[in-house]
Amino acid sequence: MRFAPEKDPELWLETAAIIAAARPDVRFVLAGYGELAEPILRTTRALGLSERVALLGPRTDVGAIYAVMDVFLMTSRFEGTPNVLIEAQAAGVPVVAPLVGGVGEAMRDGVTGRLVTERAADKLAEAVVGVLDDPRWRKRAARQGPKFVASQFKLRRKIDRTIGFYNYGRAAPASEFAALTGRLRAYFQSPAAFWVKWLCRRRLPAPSDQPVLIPRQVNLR
Amino acid sequence: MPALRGKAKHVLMVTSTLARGGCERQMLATTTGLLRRGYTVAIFALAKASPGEPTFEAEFAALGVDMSCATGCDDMTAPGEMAADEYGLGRFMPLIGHFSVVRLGAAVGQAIRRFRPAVVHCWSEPATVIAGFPASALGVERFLLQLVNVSPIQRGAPEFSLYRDAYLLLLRNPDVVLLNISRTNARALEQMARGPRGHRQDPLQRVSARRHGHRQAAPDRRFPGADRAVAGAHRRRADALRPRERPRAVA
Repeated sequence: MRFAPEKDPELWLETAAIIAAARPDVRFVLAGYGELAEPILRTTRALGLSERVALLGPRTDVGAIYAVMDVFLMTSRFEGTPNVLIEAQAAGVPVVAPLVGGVGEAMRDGVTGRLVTERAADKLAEAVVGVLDDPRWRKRAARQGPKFVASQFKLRRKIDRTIGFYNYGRAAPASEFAALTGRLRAYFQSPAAFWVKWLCRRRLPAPSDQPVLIPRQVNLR
Repeated sequence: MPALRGKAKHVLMVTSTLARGGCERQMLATTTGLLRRGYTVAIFALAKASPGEPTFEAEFAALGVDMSCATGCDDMTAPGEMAADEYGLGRFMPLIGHFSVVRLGAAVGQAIRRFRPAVVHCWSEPATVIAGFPASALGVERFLLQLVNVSPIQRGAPEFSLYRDAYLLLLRNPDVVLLNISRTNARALEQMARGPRGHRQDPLQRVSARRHGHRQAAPDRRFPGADRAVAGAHRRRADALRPRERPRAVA
């Protein structure tokens, strides 16, 4: 987390305090840096969470940090499409986040995490405790998270689209058309197409008055 | 100013700093993917990260990407007297207090002339505005203004109206593509940028939000040439603007 006002680390700590009161076995991890690092330390002490909150500072080994988590909590005021949420789900960690900005697009509510409509400490804590209390759901969410991320946030697709925007209205349509015709030509010249046509010819009934449905290959992949 | 003839598959990425953040992470991923597809990418940062602040410089260096920084090559502090305002950025000086927007814009212009990119890809504010104007004035073939973070327009920040004016000017250039990483934020930006009802002269009235990566819609036949202008998170219909609405200074 970047310790900045828009990430609202104060609310994160308030939520942690409520969770800590409800579940004495829970420990908290906060990794990041920023202008609010000192106030965070003070609030942690003031809330009596010093023994239970690990402040790791800036870290790059985020995979190791996600590996020790049972649930990921976000408390931002504003968000685009938060990378951390995507990373946490990719690592199989269920997420809890408020419905702000594009957060709703970056997770699947009830499947890979819990979306909290009211950005308040008690509501967020309730969602986190709910996740912690339901190990079966957590296990399911841990399986669904990576699938969701793989289906929605593939780098290859992102790059395809970025290049599409670079070329939009220029060479892209022509080259896409050329690529499509090339693929079609390759398909119809392939041995697979020959055998498909041969099988279709063999199985078709003799010409009659009955309408004949000619199978067409539409799958080009 | 004659249009710059860019080198094919050369992309100049412009960002505020290379400090570790979500936007920079997206930029790193995009750069990695573009390099694999045979593109040549250069990075231009408007400012250096604060001392001690973790950055992505090592990751970009490992990719072999050329990196330069405006504040590393000249004095970019806000001057007492206005420097030569080559790209019309003078009115946007209040966007940044401690740096001169005009000087930063001039540095971006130099980077564009030096690297001669076919595409200038600007990441989040204020880089979108500071690099957008030089790219537009120099006639770069295509430039993307990618909003990854929440825009000040949505946050209701004090610089709201300046960003709004800047985008209104930039979006009139048919080579600009405004992208928003989130569909929700794109819609919110569109609604807020539209202003009060009945404000008919506003070209953003004709902008509709599209999330980066969503399937492009069929061309809108109500506007001639609109199919050429559809792109990205926002759907521009610059071609549909009446001639008197087209700015002369920009594009």
